[in-house]
Amino acid sequence: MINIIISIVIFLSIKMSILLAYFYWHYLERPKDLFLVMSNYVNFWVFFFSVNRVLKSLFAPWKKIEYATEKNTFDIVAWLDVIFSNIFSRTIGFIMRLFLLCVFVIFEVLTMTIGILSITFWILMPIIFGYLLFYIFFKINV
Amino acid sequence: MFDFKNTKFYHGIIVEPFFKFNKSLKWFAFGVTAISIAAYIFYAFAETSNIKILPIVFLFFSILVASLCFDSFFENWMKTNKNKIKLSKIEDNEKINWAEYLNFESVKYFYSSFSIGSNAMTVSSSRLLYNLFDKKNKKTNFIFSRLLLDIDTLKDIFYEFSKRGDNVIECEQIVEEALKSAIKRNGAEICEGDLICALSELEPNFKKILIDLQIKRDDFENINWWVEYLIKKERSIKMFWEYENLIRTGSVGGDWACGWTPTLDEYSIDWTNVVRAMGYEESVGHGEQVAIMEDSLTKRGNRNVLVVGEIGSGRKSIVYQLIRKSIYDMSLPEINGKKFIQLNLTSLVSSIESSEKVESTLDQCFREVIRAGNIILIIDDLHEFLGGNQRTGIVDISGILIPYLNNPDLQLICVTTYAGLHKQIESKPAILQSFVKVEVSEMSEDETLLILEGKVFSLEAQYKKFISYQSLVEILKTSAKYISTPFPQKAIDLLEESFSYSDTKGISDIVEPEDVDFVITKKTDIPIGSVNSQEKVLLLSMEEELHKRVISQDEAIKEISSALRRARSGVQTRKGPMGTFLFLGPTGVGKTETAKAVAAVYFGSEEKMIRIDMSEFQRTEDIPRLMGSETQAGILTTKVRESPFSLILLDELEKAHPDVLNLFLQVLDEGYLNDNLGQKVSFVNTIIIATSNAGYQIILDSIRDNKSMEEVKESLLDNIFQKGIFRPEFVNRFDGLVVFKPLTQNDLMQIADLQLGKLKKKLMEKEINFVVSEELKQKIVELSYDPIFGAREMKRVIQEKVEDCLAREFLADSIKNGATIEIKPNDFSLAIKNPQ
Repeated sequence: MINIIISIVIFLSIKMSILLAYFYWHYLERPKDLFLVMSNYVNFWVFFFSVNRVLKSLFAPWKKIEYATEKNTFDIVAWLDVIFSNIFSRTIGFIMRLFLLCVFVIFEVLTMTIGILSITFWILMPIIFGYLLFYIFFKINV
Repeated sequence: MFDFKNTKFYHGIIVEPFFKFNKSLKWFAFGVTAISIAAYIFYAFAETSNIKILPIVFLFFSILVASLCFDSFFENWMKTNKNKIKLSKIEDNEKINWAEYLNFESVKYFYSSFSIGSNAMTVSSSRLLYNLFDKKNKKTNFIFSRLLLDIDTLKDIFYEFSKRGDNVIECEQIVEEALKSAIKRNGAEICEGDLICALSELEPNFKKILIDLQIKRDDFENINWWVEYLIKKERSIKMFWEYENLIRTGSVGGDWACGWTPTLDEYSIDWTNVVRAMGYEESVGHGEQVAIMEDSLTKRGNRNVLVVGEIGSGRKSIVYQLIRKSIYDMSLPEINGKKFIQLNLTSLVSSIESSEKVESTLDQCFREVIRAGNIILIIDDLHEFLGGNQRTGIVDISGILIPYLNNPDLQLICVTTYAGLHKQIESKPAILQSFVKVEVSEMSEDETLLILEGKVFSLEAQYKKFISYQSLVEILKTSAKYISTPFPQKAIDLLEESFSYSDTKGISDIVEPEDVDFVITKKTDIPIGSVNSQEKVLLLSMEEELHKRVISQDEAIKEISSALRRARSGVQTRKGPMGTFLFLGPTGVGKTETAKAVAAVYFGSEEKMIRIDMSEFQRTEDIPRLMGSETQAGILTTKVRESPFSLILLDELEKAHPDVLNLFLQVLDEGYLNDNLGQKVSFVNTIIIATSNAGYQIILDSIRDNKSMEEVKESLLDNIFQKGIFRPEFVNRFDGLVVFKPLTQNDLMQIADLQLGKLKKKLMEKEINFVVSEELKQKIVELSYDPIFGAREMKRVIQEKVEDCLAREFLADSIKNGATIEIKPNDFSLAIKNPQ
């Protein structure tokens, strides 16, 4: 009899410790994991959109397309042509990179929003579903 | 300390039934939710009131979510060890409970092995092992099946032992043993595979079976390492959200600031794309060389790398590793995101006819690389394009290349061989100085095993065959021993060929070690594998076989036969060739004949003998002829490389220059030699026999004085060392120093019998009976006996006196088929008895 009681007590204490472990996992471990997933994506977009390289070369000519005037000659038209062509090449480069950076920012904002919402939802999930069940029983009774 | 009941996993096992029920509940809730949603939609379309279904949807959806949470909690928390610290880093002390370092499955196997009412401190190792024979467990199933151990058969064998609860030992003892294996594979927890490794030592019945099957603990440990690696890889691939997995998609925009390369694109291969298409592969070995490359490519000044190594040593895989690191942003910032382009010079040269156009195109390619700013250019087999052998498809680019080599904006990775380096590149210091040399050493056997393990699955899928671990080990062992090219390529080739051979054979679904042996025997002509019965008979009766050709000289025959038996049975422990012998004695006593007999009897044919007349190497200038040079193939090195399983006969060794003899010191000691181009030539499957008649007068005198063979040998060596013919350290390196005695009249009688016997056999083919009388033999011996020239004269006497006479009679048609002939010894006339 005593053995059975001891076994039941051990079993219940294990159950209790597992219940506590569940709360620890739900409110600390899992949010931490979710946060890590979010930060992985945040870092990944930096890599995917080559942000460092794009920022460093923001005003660089598009595909290194550059023009130069012929040596030892001075032709104002040709000179202006070269200047405008080079400015054009840089402008194209700048627009393309700016566009890429804008897409990058959108992706980052979306990732962070989804990430934070997911973590919040996960933390609040027991309350949300508790309320939902309360509401259901209220409805069934109705 | 081993406190089993005070662990998280033990608690997990206690509550596992609840979570198993939860799994079923999850599927039930999923089903009801789906059906109720379908019903809700159906009623909505039918315009019937569906409001009462909504609570059911919510209720079961809530249950489904809760079940999923509990399931995730159990799988990711209760069953997972959060300890990421490697076991090797944990310091053992009395407070550490090693039971906490067991993984969930191992704890379960322990739990199910404890007897009822047990204190969980001791366990029957037989029962624990019986429980580990678990087909449902991916890991244990993998381990046993790779070793071709049938789990059902093992279960049958261990059923009784397990039922009786045999061999009860402390759990702590098992865990301590398992811990050794876990630490060896650098694990963070003790897995079921580690327990099997431990029980291969601790369970006596299992140990006995393994001894019979020649399976060692190391084998279990290696396969355990393999399976744990696969599980880890599978898990990491599944976790797609990990940063390493995400960056495999590549990036955009990185090369927008880099120039176009239209000309280069036409004559190049983009290795970055090639590597990206391969997907993520684990890098094995050569980490140090990759680090040197990264360092060299990022330093100031010349940033060119010359990768030097033998073909098949993994030169390209080093470049692949660097590219992989660059693609995944894992290298240095200066290398990350760069494009690795191989200049396809062969295609360039073959598509442009004029050499001026080739040069200008090449120049354009280099300028484009510099202009692009994000390219690391690769030139494979650089030596082929630096002069020397001018042939179709080959061009000398040194003139165009040199001006660019000092340009810091051009980064080059060139690949070459040692022969190419010595032959073509070292002669052009301007080129060589511009490179940092990265030497690719041969991979170790362990690293090669990892590569083979990585290749196994695709080959198994391709051929629909299964390869055992024993076969992989056989591939490693045999390719290391019998193929002179470097690891890992030779092992990979052998693996592929073994699969292919097994497929054509089509008998079994398993690639077995015998298949590997067959392939390597076919490739090298070396008899490998377990010695078959016919060969056993040959080896055991080697002395008799050799004596069929060599008369007397028992000592020499015995020593050679023993060396062959040692080599073939696998008991030879020292490095070096199978056997090395120095035959000393006067001419015509059978030294060369013995060597020929060994080649014919053991190596299958006299053709398998590489005979080198050492009198041709009397000057140091002759060494390149022996060892090979840039302009000629080496008589010795090339032949041995072509037929590594042969007998090498070094005739008249005493006449060779001392420097030539010094070259053989390494061969006799280590079993290999580096030729003049730095390539390793293996002699481990050869028998080396050197012959010399140095000091033969001593032998003749000593025999005349009736001295024993030991005394003869002693005085002969004294004489040789005194005269400085051979140095003691050279002679001592031979396995056997064999003194050939001068032939006696009796020996010569036997030789005459042998020689005339050969003739008799030949005539029998023409149905002619040649009667060889004792008088004829005596007469021949009498005519040919000369203590200085031994039996050398005999061949000539037989030719002159017997064969010539026979030839004349044959031409005169005097001898008819079925005739009996006899030669009279007094005048060598022929008596013919033709049939009636």
